[in-house]
Amino acid sequence: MNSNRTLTAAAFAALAMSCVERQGPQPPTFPSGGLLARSTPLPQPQMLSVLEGIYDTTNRFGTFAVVHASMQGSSATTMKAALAILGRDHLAFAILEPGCFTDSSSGTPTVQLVLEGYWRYLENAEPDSSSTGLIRLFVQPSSVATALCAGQAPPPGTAAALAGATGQGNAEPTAPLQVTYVQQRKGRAGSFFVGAHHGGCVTSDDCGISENTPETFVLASRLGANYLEVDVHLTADGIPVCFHTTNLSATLVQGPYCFGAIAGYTYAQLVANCRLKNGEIIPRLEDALAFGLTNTDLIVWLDMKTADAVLPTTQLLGTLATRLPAANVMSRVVMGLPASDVLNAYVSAQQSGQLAPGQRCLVEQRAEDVTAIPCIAWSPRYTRGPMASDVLNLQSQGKFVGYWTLNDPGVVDAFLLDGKPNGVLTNYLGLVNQRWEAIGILPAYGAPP
Amino acid sequence: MNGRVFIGAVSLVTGALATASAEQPSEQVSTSRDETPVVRAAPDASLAAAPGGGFIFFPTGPQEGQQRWAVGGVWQVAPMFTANFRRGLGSGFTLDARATSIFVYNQLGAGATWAVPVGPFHLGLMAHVDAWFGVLGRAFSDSETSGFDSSGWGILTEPGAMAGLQLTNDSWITLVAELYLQPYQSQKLGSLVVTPGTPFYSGGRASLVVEYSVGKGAIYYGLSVYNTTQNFPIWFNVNYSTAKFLYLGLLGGYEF
Amino acid sequence: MLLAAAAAGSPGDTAVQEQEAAAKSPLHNWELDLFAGYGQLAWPALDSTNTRWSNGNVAFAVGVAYRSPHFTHPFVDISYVPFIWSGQDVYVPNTNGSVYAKSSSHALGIIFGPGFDIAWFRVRGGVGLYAVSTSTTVQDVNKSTTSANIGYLVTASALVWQRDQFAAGIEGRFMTLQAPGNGTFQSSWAAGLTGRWDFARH
Repeated sequence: MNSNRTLTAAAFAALAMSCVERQGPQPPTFPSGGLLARSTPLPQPQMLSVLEGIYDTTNRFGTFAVVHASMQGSSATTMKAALAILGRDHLAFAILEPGCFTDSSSGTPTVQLVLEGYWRYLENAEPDSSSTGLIRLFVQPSSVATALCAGQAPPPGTAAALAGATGQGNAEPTAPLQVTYVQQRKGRAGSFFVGAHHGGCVTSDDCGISENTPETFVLASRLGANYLEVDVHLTADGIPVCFHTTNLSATLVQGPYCFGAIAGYTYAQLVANCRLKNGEIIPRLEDALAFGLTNTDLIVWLDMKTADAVLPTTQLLGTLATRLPAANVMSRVVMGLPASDVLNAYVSAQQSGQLAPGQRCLVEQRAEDVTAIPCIAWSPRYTRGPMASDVLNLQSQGKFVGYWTLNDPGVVDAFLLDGKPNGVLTNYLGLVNQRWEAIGILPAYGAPP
Repeated sequence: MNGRVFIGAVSLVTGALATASAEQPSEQVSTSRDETPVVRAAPDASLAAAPGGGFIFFPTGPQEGQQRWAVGGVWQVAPMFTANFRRGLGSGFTLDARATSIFVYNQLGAGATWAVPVGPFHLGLMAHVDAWFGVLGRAFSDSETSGFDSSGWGILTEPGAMAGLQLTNDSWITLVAELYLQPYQSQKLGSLVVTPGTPFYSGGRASLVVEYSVGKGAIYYGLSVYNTTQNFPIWFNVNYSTAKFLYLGLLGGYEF
Repeated sequence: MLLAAAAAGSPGDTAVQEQEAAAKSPLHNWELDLFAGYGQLAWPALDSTNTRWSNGNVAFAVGVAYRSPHFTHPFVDISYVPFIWSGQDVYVPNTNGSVYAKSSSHALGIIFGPGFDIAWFRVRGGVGLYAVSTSTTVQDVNKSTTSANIGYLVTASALVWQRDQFAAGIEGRFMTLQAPGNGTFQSSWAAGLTGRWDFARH
């Protein structure tokens, strides 16, 4: 019954999406599904992680690029693996999916592990043929491909490489690309996390998926996020929904009747009148979390935009924790307190025993509130500066400290080196992952579990 | 793709072109409202007759030794106060200075313009250097609440060109195109000073400005179209991307 | 402001008659303008897949302008802008089947800007504020909201009949709402009749 509701919500979302003209561009896809259409999935998709590491690339992604493996899916049968290449230059990333097929074109049958997907330069807010395209890579050497396609670990000491080509727009990839292993990724020891600001991609970057949606959980996971910040508002009939602005902003929604404060609409009216920029409905927080927590391993920071959303949200989390015991809801979902009225509502609920058991919180403003309430994390705005001594002080007390939102490479570097935070919230997951690998320093103290 | 339509620019350009095409010398068989013939043959003479000689935006500015001040406002991303000064240096040159302020952002610049009449038009070239400074947070509010403890500063250079046309005996219209080149920008975030790799070429603008004399002074109004990088003029949006976005600006004020 | 030099397009008038008219016409005019017509949403189009019906509505406007020897005249325009009203079938999560939504949207705007006359043609462009009101009824629950948006207006009219202080003709109007940051996100067109009365002249 409960999983049916999630499926139903996703089905309605898909149906609604199919009825409404999309406003945002979609990433390029291979015609007729490319080579993946005649490939079989990896028998052990989690083994794709053996390809993780730091690589040099001959074009597109620069040197010292991060190759990141991830898995998304709600069950063993639906689990899918993905590989991402994350670079600094051009804020470049690629998302590829693996497939195995036997290539007999050369006479001798050879097992090939192909990776196909798309690449994108996020420095161009609107994708065109110069900033996005198709990518196809083959895993080398063949011993690695054969082993992974047989569900086995590759021979030890074998460095993998990726070779193939990229294209522009929807054109077939023809520009050669070599991705050569350099070293393994730095360990984070559970102390450093990369956060996705509203989603794997903010809506204005036109990645084909709107921010604050269930689908963006998957995108964020693929792009190397460890946590995801979503915004929570309350509808007129008391339903927490995922949406950023108080008013239905034209930068996020479409629909000639979609105006005014989101709090003025019942959820049915919201769905009837509004679509997000890529055609999705504005999701209920319940549906977004149920999908995201079961399909990814992301931690979720709920940015509570209004004080009156605190009680309904904590009650919802308690319900979800009971409904989805395997998802560890209470340890993975943290309630963020961005302003004093929200903080006061949280403290009031805490004192009256109305918070769900195990409810955790995050403070954005005053550092002293983290220990006073107490909450597990502090996340100040980057425009206050690194505040390194305050960061270290809280970290020594076992608190998580992360900045929001760092989007410029120079600023990312400066804050990583100066503040040594536990986390960075960003619009550009690839950038922060790459900069961490290049210059990041582990904090002196570990983050809370 | 979003239907970016800039109606005001279209209407003003349409109006200007219609006026320019209507007022051909061969068509000057009658007079305008107040019986004063539109002076077409000697535009410099009519400008010299204008109060104070010359205006702020029209390419040919005040004559040598004469000067103009103006106060007004501009609204692009946010409303800002503006002040302009122009002094004639002779031989078509003028010295220009201008200030823009919205308190959290302040810009002061100086430069020069050189203009020459070409037929009924006046064409000009200009170059300015501006310094800007902005502050958010501690100066105005508690940084813990506002989330800001930041300041920024930078240098802008703005080469540009202008073309002006006298429309009637009391009104002049000028098209201005200006580039924004940003050789330096820094932000101080708390105790950290960063100098992001902001693009040198930060975009530009085109403006259509009308000036018409009213008594001894003049009223000016106009429309601008900007195409700039994201951190111009929102300086605290630290962003090194070269992506630019298009937006409108309105300006108006009084010259005296 | 009739520019006598712009002879092209003036129906039936000779240059001499124009001179006499120009010589007699007052230098300063305060005028009252009225517009009435039909208007509807121009962009973006309503999703028609599940729309049972949709219509525009009447559009009207009233304005004041000040004409002087200057070649443009400032105007203020207050208008009722119809966008659309429609009935749609929508799918809402956790309901059985589809629900019927009846919705409408219109705006009240105040626009300032310059206008320009050439003979009996007139173009105007301006910027101002629109209070956009939407009303929707879903599952018997009605919700109305009003929000303010910056918007732009451009009009083109032909005042084909003129006598003394009065003139009348046809007008086309196009307005658009500014999206935050850049661009525009919704627009409406209207067409109809327009009238002008010079209520103060000197």
